Amino acid sequence: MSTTLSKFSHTIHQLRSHLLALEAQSCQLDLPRLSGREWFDILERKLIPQLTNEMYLVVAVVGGTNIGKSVIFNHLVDQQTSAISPLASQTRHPVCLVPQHFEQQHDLREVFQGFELVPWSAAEDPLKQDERHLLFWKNCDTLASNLLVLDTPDIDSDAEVNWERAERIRQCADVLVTVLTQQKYNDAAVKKFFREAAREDKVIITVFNQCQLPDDEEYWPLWLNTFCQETGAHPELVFIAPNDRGAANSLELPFYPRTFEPASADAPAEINAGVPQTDTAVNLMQVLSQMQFGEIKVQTLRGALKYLIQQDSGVPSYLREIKSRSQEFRSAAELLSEHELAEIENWPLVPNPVIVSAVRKWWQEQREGWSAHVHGFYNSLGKGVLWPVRYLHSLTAEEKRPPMEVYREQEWSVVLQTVEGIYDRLTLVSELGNALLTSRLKTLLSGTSREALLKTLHAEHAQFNFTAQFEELVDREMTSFKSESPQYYSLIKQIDRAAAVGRPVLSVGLFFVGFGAVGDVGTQIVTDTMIQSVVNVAGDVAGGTAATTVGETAVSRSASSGMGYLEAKIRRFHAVFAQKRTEWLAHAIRTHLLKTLPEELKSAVALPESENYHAVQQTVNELEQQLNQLQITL
Amino acid sequence: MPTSELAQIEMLAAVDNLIHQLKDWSEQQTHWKTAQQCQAVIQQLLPRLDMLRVRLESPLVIATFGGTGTGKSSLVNALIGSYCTTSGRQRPTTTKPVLIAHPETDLDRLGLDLSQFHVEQKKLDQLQNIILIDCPDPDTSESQFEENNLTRLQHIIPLCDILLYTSTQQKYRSARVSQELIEAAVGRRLIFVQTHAGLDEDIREDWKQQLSQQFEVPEIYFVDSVKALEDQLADRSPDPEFAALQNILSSQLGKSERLQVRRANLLELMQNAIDHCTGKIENALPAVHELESFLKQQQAVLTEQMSQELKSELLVSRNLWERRLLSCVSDSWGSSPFSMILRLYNGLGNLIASASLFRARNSAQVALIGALQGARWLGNRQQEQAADDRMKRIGAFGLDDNKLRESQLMIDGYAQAAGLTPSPGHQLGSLEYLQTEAAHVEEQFLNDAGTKIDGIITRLAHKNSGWFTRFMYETLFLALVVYALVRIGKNFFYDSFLDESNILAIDFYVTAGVIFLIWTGFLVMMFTRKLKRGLEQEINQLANHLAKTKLSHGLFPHLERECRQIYAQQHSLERMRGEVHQLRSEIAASRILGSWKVNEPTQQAGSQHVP
Repeated sequence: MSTTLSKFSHTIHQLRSHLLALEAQSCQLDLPRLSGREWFDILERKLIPQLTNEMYLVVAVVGGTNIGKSVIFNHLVDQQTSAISPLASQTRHPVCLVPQHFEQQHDLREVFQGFELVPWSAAEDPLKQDERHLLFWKNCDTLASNLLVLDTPDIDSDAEVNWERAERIRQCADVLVTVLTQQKYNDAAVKKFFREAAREDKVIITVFNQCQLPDDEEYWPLWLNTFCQETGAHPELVFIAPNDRGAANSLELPFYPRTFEPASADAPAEINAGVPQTDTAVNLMQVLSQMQFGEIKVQTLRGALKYLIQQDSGVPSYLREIKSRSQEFRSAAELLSEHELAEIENWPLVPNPVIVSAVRKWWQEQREGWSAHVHGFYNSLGKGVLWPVRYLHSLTAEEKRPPMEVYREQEWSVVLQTVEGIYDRLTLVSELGNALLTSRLKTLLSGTSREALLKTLHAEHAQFNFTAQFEELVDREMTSFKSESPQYYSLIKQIDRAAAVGRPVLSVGLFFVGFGAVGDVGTQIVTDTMIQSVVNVAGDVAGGTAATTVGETAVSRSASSGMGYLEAKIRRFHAVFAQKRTEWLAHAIRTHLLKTLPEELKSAVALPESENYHAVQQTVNELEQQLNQLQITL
Repeated sequence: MPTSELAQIEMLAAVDNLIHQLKDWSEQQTHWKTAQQCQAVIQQLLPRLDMLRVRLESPLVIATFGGTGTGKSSLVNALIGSYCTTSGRQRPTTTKPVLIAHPETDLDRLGLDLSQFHVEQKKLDQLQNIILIDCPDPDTSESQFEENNLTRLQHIIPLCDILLYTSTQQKYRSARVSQELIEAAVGRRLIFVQTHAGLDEDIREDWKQQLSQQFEVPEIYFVDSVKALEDQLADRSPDPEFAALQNILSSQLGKSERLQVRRANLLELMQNAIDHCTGKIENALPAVHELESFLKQQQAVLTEQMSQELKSELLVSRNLWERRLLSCVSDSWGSSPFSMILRLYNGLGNLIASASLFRARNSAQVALIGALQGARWLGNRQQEQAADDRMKRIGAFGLDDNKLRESQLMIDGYAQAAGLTPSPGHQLGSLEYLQTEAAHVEEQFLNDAGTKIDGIITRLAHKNSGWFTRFMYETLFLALVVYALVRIGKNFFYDSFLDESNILAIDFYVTAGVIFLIWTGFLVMMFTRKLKRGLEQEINQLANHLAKTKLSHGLFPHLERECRQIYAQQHSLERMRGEVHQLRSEIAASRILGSWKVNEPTQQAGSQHVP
């Protein structure tokens, strides 16, 4: 027996740690917390502390407000331990009677998790108004060892904190002394409470209180039967107590034992209820002490374990919840990645003269020695001679802004259009009714976050040194070109004609996320392996000679014809630069606009595949096997 | 007519007026989501109010309400003094509600679906003013969805005028029943009864304390229905507490009380709905405030930008200033020698400048040409190249497409967050729309600036061309003319005639002409310099002033309108709220009937914002 218990105990501890890890991991799923779920509370409050070899039985008096729970508790322990009052919902904290020396062998805080333990000092203790969950305890020498007896707050009054305390006690209890009255046995709140108790296989002892004897003798079986049918509870023992306030106050209330068997489903009218031959009141404490502790303990522990692994209410339901929530996230992600986030029809191009001058500059730097000096001389001479002409020209012409500044402005305009398109698209998506996305997108789409985004984007965009970036690009391209192709010289020779070369029309598609298929055109650049935005630059050529792909092949193929060769090369500059710029845009949009959304979606989607999830599932399976074996061995 | 009756009529008129206002409010066109939701609530309420008004005079419907086993049916039986509805020990006893009425009461007028009820007609005096309904309990049902006692009860409650709320020592703190009571109590009067007096202790004190948090509790009756019925059947007089309760129902709810009850119910329903709506609107208002303040901020940025731009352009356009100033002075001086010279120069200057002037793409120059000329200029130009040109000017004015797009983006976000759905007429997303709007704004701004510039010019011209200045310049100018004329006259009349010296050669006239030109040029230049004194300061002042003046609307006039409308709606709702609370407080608190407690509207609500 003890080895079985320790085996269970080990598995339960494992399960708990896996569950906590899984919960920490799944925080972005917005699921209700683990604590507060009935099965998890049972795990924490009953299984973890009670799966030990030192067996003890927790007996709790439970029921609706003002039906005499405290009266019955006092009768049970034969002393005025819990104050009684004619007013409703006065017992606000549980009271526990503990056998001698029990607290030295057990840590009471372990036994009653979720309560602050306070030594009992007066019968009025449980009436205290206190926001904390207190539990008053007191030694009692008349109590059988290993028996803990509790009085609990109500389960149906307007003080909801009382319900919570009663539920916590129910979760760790083995035996529930269920107090019913004719007014309360059919109340929704009462039925709900005991339905849970029945599912957890608690031992139920019913005390039907405040009966109008002898009139009610024929009614209580009907009432109790309704109660049993509604809740699924099956009382082990039934007692009835008369409505006698005087006796109740002076601890002289008699409890008459009754036999009771609820009607079966086949014969709903047949209720087996009876009065024993000698109808004498009994001492409830004696009845309790005579119970089979071991059997009861095994029953309730098994009940708790079964509850834990039940498909519809235990751990499997939690796992299913995670899975379906994760599925929601997946569909949200798919919704987002289904279409392009934005499509830019006409990405601005750097004017050809800029390319020409950049290539010239590069060429200048390539020259070495005497040749460079000569060229430098002629260049400065030319500049000097032409200066007055240029000056005059600049006077007559309207002030001209540097071409890269014009480009910057054009690009900013495109960036704005793109952002606008993305916002429109996200608005559309948020109106599709996926609750997860809607709540997340709402903050992204608000005016303040738009303002912030534009500010950051603008700052980043204004800081770029386009000229330097472009020159760097030219340098890299030309250097690699030079090393690969001896014909590069012919490009330099023709470069002056480049201004006449037609410029390609570049269209760019921005995609979200790596779920499902991403657009199918042209080159795809995944900006970062971890992030899921995808840029797609499709270069379409105005002149119509070269194919959409811009690369070495196109260059070499048309190398023979001089103009085609130049055109291909120029196009490559355009495309590569546009690519670099769109990469920046994609990255900026991902980090500043979408923020953590892609990561959140991705990790949520991946959760059911995670280690913790599998570990929990496995432990539950293990537990199920162990439980099956237990049933076989028993 | 007796005064009390007049007061009644007055009250009725006030209530009718309020309902009318509410109806109007709920029919206003709005693009604000929250207001639309509130309007839907009000529109749901209106038919119910109508129903209550129709029934104003018919007998009161009194229903029992309370947890299972609290003795609702027993109480009904005891009240009419016979076994009429099954009371018993098996729970729940009553599932189909029982309706007990006097045979002469016209049940059809009540708007009840009688098939729902088990109808009992009893010829009893105490039933002449009332209809009693014995209802099922609210606390044995656990589901909201299937047909059960709770849903049955929820169907009946809206038709009742008074609830007879029964409870016991065991049940009076039951959460479920209290919750349902809060739901049910709005628009109804309440009578509180603790039953089972024979078995239970008196807990009325504690109960009253608990109830008082949410209800007005005038009195709680403590009765033993079983004994009361037995007493009546045995022709004994029931105990005084029960007799008091019976008395209220049978005689005190007569005609006058009936009106009172119904009106109070009606007002309470309205009040509840309005409170609900104001709460909703108050919750949603911060987003609208945000939108509004952003709109204001955008407008401020816009004016600032335009006035800065205008300032720098005005400071550059020196020639135009001079010409305007000169023509102003010469106009005011009328015809005098020097002013004729000024006019001549001005005319020449205009002639030269006109070609380049009309090519002005510059907004500031348009403003500077003057309101009148500018308008003419605009009128001429508009036909030819209006849209195109205006766009260009706007571009030069700092309102380029990128800027427009940026504010569009942000405004969209704010409008969405505020829950404003775009009206079909104004496609929010279109840039063309915004461009036209921007052109309007700019035009308005320039008109304003043009008038101000005219003012500056007149002021400058007057300040710097007083009689002394005029006298000085006229004298200086005439001095040369007179001198030349004297020379010529002397030569012609005296020297050549008497002295016989030669008549002045053509050389003299050429020299004189040149000197004349230089002299006049110098004078005109000096004069214009004088005129321009303080010009820079004036322009700075103008720019600052323009930056501060409010445009009549910004780039998003329809959103601004929408915001104003929202505030107007909120205010009219607040006003109705105040009125309904006022009316309700005028109905004196009843001595016998309890009711739901209403929180009075707080003063600061809604008043912090004045549109």
